[in-house]
Amino acid sequence: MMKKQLLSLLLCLMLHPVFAEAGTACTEKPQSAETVQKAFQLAIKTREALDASGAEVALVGRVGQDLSKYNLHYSHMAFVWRDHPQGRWLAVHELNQCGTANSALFNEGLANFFFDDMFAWDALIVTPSPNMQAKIVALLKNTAYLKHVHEPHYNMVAHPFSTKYQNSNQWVLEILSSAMSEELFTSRSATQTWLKQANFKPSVLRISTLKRLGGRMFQANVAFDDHPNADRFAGNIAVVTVESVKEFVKQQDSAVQELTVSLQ
Amino acid sequence: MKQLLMATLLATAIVSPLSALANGSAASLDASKTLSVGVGSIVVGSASLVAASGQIVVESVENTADGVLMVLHGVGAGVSEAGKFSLKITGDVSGAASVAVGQSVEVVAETAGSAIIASGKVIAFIPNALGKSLMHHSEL
Repeated sequence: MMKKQLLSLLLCLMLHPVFAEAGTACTEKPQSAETVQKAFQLAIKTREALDASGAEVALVGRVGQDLSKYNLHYSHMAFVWRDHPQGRWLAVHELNQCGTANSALFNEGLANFFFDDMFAWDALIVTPSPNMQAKIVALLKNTAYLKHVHEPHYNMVAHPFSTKYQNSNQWVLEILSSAMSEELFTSRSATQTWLKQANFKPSVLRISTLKRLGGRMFQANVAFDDHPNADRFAGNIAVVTVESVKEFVKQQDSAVQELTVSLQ
Repeated sequence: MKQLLMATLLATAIVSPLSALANGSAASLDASKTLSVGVGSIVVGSASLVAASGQIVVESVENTADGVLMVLHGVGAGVSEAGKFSLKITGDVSGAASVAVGQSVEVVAETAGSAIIASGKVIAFIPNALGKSLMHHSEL
């Protein structure tokens, strides 16, 4: 009887559409004219706000998912660099590749950055002090270091103090750590030790056992094995989020400016 | 039957909610490859014709090494053979590849360029100077 139940469960999981999509290659779907229009409009407004800020580098956040159940709004963060050698105001960020367990680093225009099924057409701009900006720009010019800090084993819920995986916001945070500490860390574990000492506070998401099981089994880009057992069993999953990076930057740099750009 | 229903409910509960956790991932991933719409450029004919043509018909669609080459012509009063142009589409060509010869497409002028629309979806976007200045994609 138990066997039958298990079989039914497995069959059902196999038929579920999420299973079919999880961790597979990118499925490209045609966009509506409205989506294209909005992506460009938000890109234009964001660029205008960046130009008006006088900044040479900032952090930009987008809302790719509805994270309201976790009390979060922005899902993904990038550096946006005015005088990027390949074009003005390009985003520099880590992206998971099509739901696989890997990521890579990309330079992207602001339209590319917002071109997606955004859950909300809002952009967060966090501008550090000019002194901090200069340090960040120096790091962005150091492509070898950007790659050195990058861990291609992607996990959207990567533990902030584990080097096994890395999520997109974690890469931004670990680059920022070098700017803030003025130290080119030789390893991610050294960076994370500094982050702990500097009192970085990750977001803690409440994720039940059932959700954890489903995520691990059926999505290549979700893993929980880097989280301490006690936290995992209690359903407390610590993650580097846009909000936690923003709060940490504010804690480290009192002159930081924050603004939101939204489409009406 | 009850068992199967239970199993179904359980399975749905397990696999559904995680997608909401995505961080620059799942939904954003299509964007990680390139702008998730074909990027068009006029290779023969005038771009101004695109703006002037309300309704356009697909004359031919040809797969090339780096994308799709589509020949289109305007229809309606006053439109001659000169109202024909070739559009090269690169990037995401999934929309363009599904367009049939003889099918009508629509051109919608937007702030950053012109969208070529078939069956309500953008099959290609022809960026103007403003659009081009906001587009870039390269791996580090």
